[in-house]
Amino acid sequence: MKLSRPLLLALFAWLTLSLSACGRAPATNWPGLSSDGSAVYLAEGQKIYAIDLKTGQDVLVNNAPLRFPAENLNTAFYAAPALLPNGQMVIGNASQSEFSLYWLDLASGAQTHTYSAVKKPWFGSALAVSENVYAPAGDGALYAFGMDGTPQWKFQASEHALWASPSSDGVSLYLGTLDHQLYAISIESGKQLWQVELDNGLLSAPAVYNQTLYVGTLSGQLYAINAKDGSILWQTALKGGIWSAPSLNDNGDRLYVGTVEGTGGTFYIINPADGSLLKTIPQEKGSIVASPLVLPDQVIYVTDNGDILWLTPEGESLRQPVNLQNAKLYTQPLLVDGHILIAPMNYASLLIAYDLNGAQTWAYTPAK
Amino acid sequence: MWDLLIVNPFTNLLLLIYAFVGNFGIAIILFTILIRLATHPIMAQQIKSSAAMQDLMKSDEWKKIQEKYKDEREKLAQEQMKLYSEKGISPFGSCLPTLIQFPILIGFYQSIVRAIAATPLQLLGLVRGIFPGLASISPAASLSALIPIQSKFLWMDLGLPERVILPFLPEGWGIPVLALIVAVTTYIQTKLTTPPAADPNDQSAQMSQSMAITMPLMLFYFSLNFASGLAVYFVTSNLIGILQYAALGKVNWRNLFSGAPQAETKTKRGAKRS
Repeated sequence: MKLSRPLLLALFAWLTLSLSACGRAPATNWPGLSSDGSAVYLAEGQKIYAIDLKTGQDVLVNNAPLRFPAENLNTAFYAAPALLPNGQMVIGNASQSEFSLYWLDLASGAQTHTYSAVKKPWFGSALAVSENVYAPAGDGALYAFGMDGTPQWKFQASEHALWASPSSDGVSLYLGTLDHQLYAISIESGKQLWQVELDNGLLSAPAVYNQTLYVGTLSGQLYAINAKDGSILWQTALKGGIWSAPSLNDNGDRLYVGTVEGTGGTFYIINPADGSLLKTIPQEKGSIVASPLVLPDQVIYVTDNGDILWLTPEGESLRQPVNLQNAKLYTQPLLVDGHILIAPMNYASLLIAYDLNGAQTWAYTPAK
Repeated sequence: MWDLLIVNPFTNLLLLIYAFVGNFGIAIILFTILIRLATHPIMAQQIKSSAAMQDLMKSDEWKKIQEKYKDEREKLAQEQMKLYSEKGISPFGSCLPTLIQFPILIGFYQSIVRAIAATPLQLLGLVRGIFPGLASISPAASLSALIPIQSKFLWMDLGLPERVILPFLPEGWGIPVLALIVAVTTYIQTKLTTPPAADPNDQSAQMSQSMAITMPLMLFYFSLNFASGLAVYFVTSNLIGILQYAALGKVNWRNLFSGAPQAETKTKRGAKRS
């Protein structure tokens, strides 16, 4: 049988297109970072790694790297572990078949308590406030527990999964939902204090400063909301969707937030008093999914194109950006003891530490 | 390129259907029907070519050259090609349509996974792939109206593997009803649509038999572990597939309850045709 040349070309093009479908296995979760000042806990994939901050090596227990959970469980972690004052961490399992919230011993990695009453994945990071922990769940409820895991109250916020973590001023909890609602909840009783409907889904915790909440939605509206009654103080439209919490500087006179617009985005510096734009930095390649790290003398933000960018507080370039080739950066940089920690995805190292001058101090690759 | 040309258009079409019907389960069912109907001419061509090939392989001429040149592989191949040419049959006639259909079905499957957006990373992929003009077709197709996707359908959460929890079952246990339906419908479809083989003991007949077992098991495993939205797609696709074969008069009801394809019936049918 003879195939005509155009048909052969068309067949070849079709096969090339089909084969391009098989080229990659997409990741399903991104890393979460926490630190107690001496070690950093990196939740990545199925495990949580404990890394010594000084050396960038695994924390060893009985000559073996410390891993959480110590047992082999069907786990997938999306969140930053919440560290409790009693030497435990709390983190939810985001796997699609095993739905538990774990209490893990920081010294040994062993499970000390498990809460399995919710039959949905746990995506959002739990929040530890004084001696309690507040965990957003896949069933749309926020759960309050004592340090030992004793359930205290449950607040049903949505019929959809909660992906955003709560934030708190010590008296109230503030929680955003995918179905456009922002709630203030009494930290003591779990009762609703107020509720406000915004224009789109909320994927991150509101930033709390001086009785004001700053929160962004998927359609790029940034809101300042009165923490006492939920009234909207101002609203600014940004280009792209807001995926992470805005960050404020210590003086509270600059608000930093990044957006996702296609495969690019924009980094904004905003006046928290009225929502006016102080600086706009378009990012042609790479979206800004994670919150920036704001320090007194510099601001660091990352993109999912593998870029790490350093700015002055005013938004001028402070030093040459670093590109981690092929890496995706979805996790907020963390400052601990003079180390700026970056957790890349799709990269040879799981964690990279830089000093405050932007020089790399160590890179962590887990021991086999 | 794949995302741009296949997955994104499919995802947007699925979201548009969802925007109109307001139920993601029904959107998946309608979308599956639409895609199966769109690929129906290709499938009909494949069935026709496959049947012509089956008939040829059962013919005396075919058997004669098999016997005559059994020790001369090259000559046998030449004679087979000659026979194909004489009868106007393309040896690629049944696999070429499959080749065209397969990427469409893979893209379709990926678009369902993307649209379900069961994790934040999947939602990021979904949001990036939504066409800006979608909202102009219907306000219900705007980003703020689409997100979050209403993933509840019947007793299921389409973003999670399905289980029916019953009070008498131990903690953490459930019955995977939908996965069982997927396995049963896949088995029925494979049995009903497998074309009769000339010799039940030949390699292709044995392969068909093993496919009738492995496919349901494989899809059962997928349905057990992946989002139930996919299982809804598998069930719908199986049922539509059976209907399509039935519409073309190619359903082998006898195959359903027999271990091997009915050799006698096929011989008779083959004799009638020749």
